[in-house]
Amino acid sequence: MKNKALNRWHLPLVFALLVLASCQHYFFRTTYDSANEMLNRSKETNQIKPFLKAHFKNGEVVIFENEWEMDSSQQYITGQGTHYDVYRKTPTYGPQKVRISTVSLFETNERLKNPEMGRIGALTVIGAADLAVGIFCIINPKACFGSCPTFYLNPNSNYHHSDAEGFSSAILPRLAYSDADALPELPATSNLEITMKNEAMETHVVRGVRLKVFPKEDGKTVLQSHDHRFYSVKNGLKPVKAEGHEGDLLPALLAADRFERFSLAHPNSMKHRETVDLEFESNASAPLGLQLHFRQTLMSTFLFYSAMDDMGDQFSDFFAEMESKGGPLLKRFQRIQKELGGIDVSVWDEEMGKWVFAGTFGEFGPIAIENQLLRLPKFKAHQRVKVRLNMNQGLWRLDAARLCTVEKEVEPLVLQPTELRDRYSGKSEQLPSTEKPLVTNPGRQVIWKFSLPSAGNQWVAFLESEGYYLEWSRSEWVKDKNIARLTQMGVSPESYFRKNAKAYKEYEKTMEREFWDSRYSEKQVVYEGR
Amino acid sequence: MKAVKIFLLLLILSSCAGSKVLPRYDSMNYNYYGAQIKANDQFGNALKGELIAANDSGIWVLQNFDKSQVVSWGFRDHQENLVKIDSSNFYFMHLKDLETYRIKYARSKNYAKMMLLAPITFAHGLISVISFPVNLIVTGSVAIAGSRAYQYNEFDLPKEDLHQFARYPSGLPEGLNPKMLNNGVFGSNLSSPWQKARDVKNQTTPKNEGPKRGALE
Repeated sequence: MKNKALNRWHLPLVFALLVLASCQHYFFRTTYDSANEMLNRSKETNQIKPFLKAHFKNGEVVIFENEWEMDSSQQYITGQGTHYDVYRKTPTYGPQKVRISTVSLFETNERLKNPEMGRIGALTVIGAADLAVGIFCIINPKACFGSCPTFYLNPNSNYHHSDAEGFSSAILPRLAYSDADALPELPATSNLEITMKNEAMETHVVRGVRLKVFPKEDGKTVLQSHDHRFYSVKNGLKPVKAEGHEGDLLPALLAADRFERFSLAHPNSMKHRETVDLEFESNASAPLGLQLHFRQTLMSTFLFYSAMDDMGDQFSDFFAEMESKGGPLLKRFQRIQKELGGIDVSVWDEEMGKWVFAGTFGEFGPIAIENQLLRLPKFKAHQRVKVRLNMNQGLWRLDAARLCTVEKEVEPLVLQPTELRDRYSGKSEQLPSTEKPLVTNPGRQVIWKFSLPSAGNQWVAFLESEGYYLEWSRSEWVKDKNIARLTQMGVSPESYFRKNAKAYKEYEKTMEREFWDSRYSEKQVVYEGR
Repeated sequence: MKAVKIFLLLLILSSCAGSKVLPRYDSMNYNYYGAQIKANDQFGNALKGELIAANDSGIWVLQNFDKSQVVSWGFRDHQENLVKIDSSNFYFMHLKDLETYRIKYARSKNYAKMMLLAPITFAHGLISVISFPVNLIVTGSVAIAGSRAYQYNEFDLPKEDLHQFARYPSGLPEGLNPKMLNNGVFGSNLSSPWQKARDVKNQTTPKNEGPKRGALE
């Protein structure tokens, strides 16, 4: 984690050091062999450095205050100052009168303009930034401390490179569910190890983790649909046109490279729809599906934490009630999510001359990038297939889009883990079940071991995890209790979205742009800068 | 590990800041001593101390007796190329032998402690992936820049201008007794009369009177 971050900072580090190290003050001192030279040169440059030292041939020196004058006719310099003997042992302060002929060298100096100012300024700025981020993290811990179990093929990766994210919206036992995420290409070994981390201020209750794998076939792959089925697909076509209200988006959507397109929330309301139009060089003769790589921004995180913040010291009461009774309170809580919605997909039917709704992508979580398929209905298209994505502005990040030919639904080979052990102690643990789940607290990392039928790179794999998590209450939340606002969120979300748009824009400014953008320092991220 | 190494490196680099024998930057115009010099000759000899004088033949340096200032700056081989004067701490180095040097003319501030604040960024959670290196870069840069402030080396200041930073810029006074030279600590023992003098001045010189600043007739 640190290594990658530091590698990224090596160049700016060296640059900053060089720039700062080179900031030195020159030319503050000038020496003159004679008073005439001092007089002439200062006339030429029309200025003289105000602090004067007259060095005598015998080693003595008179240091004048910055108030002195030269009487060129009488050949004296007079002013307030201090006379030092050759060994600098007996200073005499007072009015000084120095005969110019006894001086072997004149030295003039100018006062340095507080050279520490820049350094103190830099420290002040970084200190203020640290404080601001610290306060922000106290108020919005989820944004700073992650969420949900994160899974990694490389145990040394951090959340920026999380390969899968588990049950992000299961905030109560009664909301527990299983969630499958596509994994990147597996290593060429049949013994696969996947690290699961608890990087949040949460307790994770994991009932099970399993792999769903499919044998790889040339030119084909397997995708999970938005309704959690698996399909064999081929001929993934890149879009030839992609447009949003900000203009051309094509470069961002051509490849699943984490070069993502996202927009910032609308300034007047957090709920505001936007569209992205895609075009593919294809006709609609075969069963088609839209493959999309996407994830959420931090908007949902903001809403989730705002709600808990508003619960204040009744946080546990609300959660206990939702868990035991469910009902209206839980529905209100979930309503927010529904209000903002998913990514609605429509296709342009040329014969009917209108957009035909195809379905909705929707997956909670801002960390791992989802790779899902949405099967398109039958429609007529001659040269180009036109697809419209309709979604809430500022809620989604799009990484890549493909138009695929859907072959058939396929059933996975389900692999249960063969071993579970603690990453640090190496101690083996009992594999979890619904009755005896694995419980992890912040900082815990465990390794799931799987035995594949053959080398991992011969399989397309999905990681499915089942469980829920319990958010840890923070003392800061108690201070900001606001039941009225919480009620407004559940009862009148439209009004809530409008009233909190400004607060979210502030959050978005500091988090969305700096927090996430900083991950891709080598790549440009498209965003709409409203 | 790399973060820790960089952190330690910057800390070590910055720890050399803050020599107490020099005046602060805002008092240096009243300094009656020479600048501090670290000089190395082509034979591996090294001198560190106050630059007493410099001319076309060489430099005279009063070695510091403050041990904290001479760490690793003891003599090595070829001491015969240095001239030790009157069994004091006073040395002469030939200009033709002088290879590298560094002049420090004012006391730098030690900002290294600020680097210890970088681990506080772990309170930023995941954001510390960004804020920790940023803090290290900024505080480390400031610490290094601070420790390197008020310095010239052989690239900034040619040998022939070294005398400008000597106690006796017009050359070594005739009849100077090296044993009478003391390692000056501006602002401590010998600055007391200066401070007294300033106090006297404040009492006796009315404000807004006296000659115009830097006036030339």
